[in-house]
Amino acid sequence: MAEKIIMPKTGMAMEEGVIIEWFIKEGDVVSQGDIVAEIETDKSSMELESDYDGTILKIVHPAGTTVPVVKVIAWIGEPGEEIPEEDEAEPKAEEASPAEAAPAAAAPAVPASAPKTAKADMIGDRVKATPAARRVAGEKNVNLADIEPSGKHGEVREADVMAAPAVTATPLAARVAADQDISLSEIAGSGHAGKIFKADLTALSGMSGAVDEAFVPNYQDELVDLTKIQQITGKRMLQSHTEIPVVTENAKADVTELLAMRKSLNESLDVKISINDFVLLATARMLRLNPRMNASLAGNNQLLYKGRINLGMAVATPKGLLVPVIKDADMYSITGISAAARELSVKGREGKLQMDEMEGGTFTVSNVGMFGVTSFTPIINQPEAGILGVCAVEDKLAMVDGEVVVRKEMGLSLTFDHRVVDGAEAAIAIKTVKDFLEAPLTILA
Amino acid sequence: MRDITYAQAINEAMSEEMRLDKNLIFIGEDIGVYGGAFGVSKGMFEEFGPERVKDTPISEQVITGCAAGASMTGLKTIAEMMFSDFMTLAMDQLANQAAKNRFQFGGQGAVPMVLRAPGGSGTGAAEQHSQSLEAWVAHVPGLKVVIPSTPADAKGLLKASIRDNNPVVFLEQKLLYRQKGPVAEIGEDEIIPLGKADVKREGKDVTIITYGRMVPRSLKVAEDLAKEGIDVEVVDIRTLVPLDKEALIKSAKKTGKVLVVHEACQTGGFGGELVSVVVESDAFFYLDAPVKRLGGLDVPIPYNPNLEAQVVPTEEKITAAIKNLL
Repeated sequence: MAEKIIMPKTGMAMEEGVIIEWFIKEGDVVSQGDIVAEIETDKSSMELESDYDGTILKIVHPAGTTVPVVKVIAWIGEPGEEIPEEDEAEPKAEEASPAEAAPAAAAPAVPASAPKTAKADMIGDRVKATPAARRVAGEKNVNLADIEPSGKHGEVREADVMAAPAVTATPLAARVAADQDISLSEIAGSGHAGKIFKADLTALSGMSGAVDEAFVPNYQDELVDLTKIQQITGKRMLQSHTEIPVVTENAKADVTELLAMRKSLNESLDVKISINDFVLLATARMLRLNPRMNASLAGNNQLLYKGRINLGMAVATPKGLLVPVIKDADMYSITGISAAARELSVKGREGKLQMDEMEGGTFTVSNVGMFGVTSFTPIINQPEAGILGVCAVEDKLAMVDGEVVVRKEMGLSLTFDHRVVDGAEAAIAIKTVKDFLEAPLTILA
Repeated sequence: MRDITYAQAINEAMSEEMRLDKNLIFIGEDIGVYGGAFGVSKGMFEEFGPERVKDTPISEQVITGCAAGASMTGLKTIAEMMFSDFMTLAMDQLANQAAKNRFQFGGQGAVPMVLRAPGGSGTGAAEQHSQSLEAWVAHVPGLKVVIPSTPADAKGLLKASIRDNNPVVFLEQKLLYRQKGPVAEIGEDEIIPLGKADVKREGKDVTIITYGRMVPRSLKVAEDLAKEGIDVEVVDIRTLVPLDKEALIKSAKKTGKVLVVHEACQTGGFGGELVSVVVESDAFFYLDAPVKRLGGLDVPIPYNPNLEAQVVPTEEKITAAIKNLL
């Protein structure tokens, strides 16, 4: 059987290499370990050894050509041996004039095999297969629907799956494929031993003509109705954004000690207090100390200082953004506010919030830290004076006692209505929250 | 090792145990001077005398009831029933008395008895003397159920049954009484514990789970199929209760294809239990074909010898069933 000499992949980042020089020509006899070519990558040049004994049957790419990694650059085998047709045809496309070669070279993925003639029987939308076949298909990451069945009743059996080539893919590629309903076994991966990367899938979807239409995800425009909640949210967002002169101030809080205290509390009390619970409580305490942040405009000439501190918390739900309110948030203990917040967010996600649970807010906290956001400008929930955006916790190097140590730092983004609060007052407010978080015992005091 | 018959192996097991334990007695119809309907007890009357090898009236209820009573009150008993079909007459003593005693007395009661009874067709004994009724007794908690397929198994399992403190129904196979096989020398004490299956033939393509007379028949089929390149594993469960589930599951996982064979009528037969053990276990995920049962036809055993041969699993039927799995 003719064997391939491929463009080696010498590093994770290597995508293509240049054949600087061939040391052999077609018809030459080489031994395993003989140097056959010099290859240049973006980092260095290297000598390419033959992995096989045999005769050079064909040099697919002449010296000077740039070739994607793992693509065939030459064939080796017995004199007169046939070169596999399918594989020979593939690199030919890349040999075309430079202008044409570019798109082909950028698209490493092509269907791995010709369409199957026989397909398994279906039971509804399930492939008819034995339990053993299902187990092995799962282990090999093979799609049962692509396997030719040998069972007497049209079912796929274990041996059929065993005979199918294993498909390996990165977890991300597997997920993308599942999302887009692409069968991994139809993809030729660009990685080692055909491992499929996400790029192979995206390359596939971007190629028209070069790929069978059946393999291209069908992306189409779609018009959907906004939910009632989304419509209301949209109106209120626009109103808030156009009516209020907003300023956002960003700060960072060192939460190393807070994280340690949270861990200790959770372990000793067997609870699940989140960082956000501490932020809620710290914010509630801050509002008691900075009443102007808990106020709102009453007409053009008056300010209404609200007596109760009712803290809204933004919850992303399947139907849209909801802001349930923790009433008298400053009266809670940390475990109490944690339980209250959890109950409201669960209700929110399940669509079970009552109207009175979303009314009466005096200030809002919005947390997108879990998504890694480091700073943002939340929109104020009118008629409140401000909204505190909670950002991600990140590692930060700091000097402590002359030593470099890792500290945990969380971003805070306070957006406020400048008609109600001045910049300095807001800065004091955000600093108050920061101080609470950095000395977490004071939140509990 | 020497070759002796299945009947001789049973005789040796009883005789050796009676020599070891003076409290062990043996009762049944025509087991004394006559030596047993199938000649199993030849020589025992002469060796152990009329007090320990006792002929009984023709009443299976009496035989079983006496055995249970004697065993509850300090003796150990082997009772022989001439044909296992007559367990019908002894069922109250067996199922309601012998099997329940230990449980009724909070584990303090013990009924160390063995009810030996031959079963199976193939001798022209017709519908009332040819049945395979193991499923009836396997369904009664408190009874252990043993069906040996070779002389060595018969000897080793009978010795274990005699030493067991619970009632054991030891179902012998009429058609195997004259079969010879290698058995350990007398006195070598080859005990085979109850609840251990035996892989009689290793194979990789398909598993036959079976017991009793169907074991040699399945082995013959396996040898024939080996010539066609089909590698059959034959698992002899040997004891129905307690059942060696692990052995069945292991073999099913190994081959992925399972055929259960028994002579008893298929409907309500013990094969259904064996199939359940396999499909309820994680062997399910290794199955590469539906698990197949091959039992006897749901008819009384006919007197006509041609029909009699056809109502139970034949070599041809077993072969066809295996090929259908592959």
